[in-house]
Amino acid sequence: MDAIAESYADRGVQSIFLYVREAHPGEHFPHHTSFEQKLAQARVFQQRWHCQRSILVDDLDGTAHNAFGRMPNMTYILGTDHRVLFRADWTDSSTVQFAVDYLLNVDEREREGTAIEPFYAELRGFRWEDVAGFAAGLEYNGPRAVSEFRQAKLRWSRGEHLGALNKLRGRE
Amino acid sequence: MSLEEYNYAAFPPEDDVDAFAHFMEFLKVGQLAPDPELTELASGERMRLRSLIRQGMTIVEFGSLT
Repeated sequence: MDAIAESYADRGVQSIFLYVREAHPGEHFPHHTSFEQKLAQARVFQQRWHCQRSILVDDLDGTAHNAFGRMPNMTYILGTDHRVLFRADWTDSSTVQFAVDYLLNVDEREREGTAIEPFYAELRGFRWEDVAGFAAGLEYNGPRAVSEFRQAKLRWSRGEHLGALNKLRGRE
Repeated sequence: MSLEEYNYAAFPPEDDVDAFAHFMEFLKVGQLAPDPELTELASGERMRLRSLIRQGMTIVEFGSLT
């Protein structure tokens, strides 16, 4: 996502990372109990991933996170009028790039004088799953994060927790 | 939701089911986005999300270290 931010900055596209609650807390990086701790872990994130985007931190209650749908790694694209142009419940850089290219093309056609009329559209997204990278991330968080995710997968496979919903939406 | 429930200590949070179930019906494209107050990590300043949106579109990715 940082590569997209860099590539499109000169075309007027801004990129923000909004730091929310810890998705997979572990011994090394536990759940937030104070705002100072949340800021400190956001700084570790910035350094670990060399994040060049502007990082905005949500409050400890998760006000922004809740207002946008509370998914752990969702992405929105907002227009200058602050209306939602694109939204996805997971972040996949190629899907975001696809949407940015589409929207920039709309802007370009509008500037050329083409009559543009907005309409509602949906798209089923498909993301590349970095299994090894995700596993390495859990280990970085601490052994508890690894074991809790393993246990959660077992629950999901039995149709518990998110399992039934995943099956309903073809995400088995 | 309490502060402890939101900042859950052990994965997975029970509220995930609700979030995953309702996201598709939540805040559709074309609607006005919320305008929460946020803290800029670099400066420590509090600011509204909308005040950051200057020209063109803005990509907002939500996430965390873990």
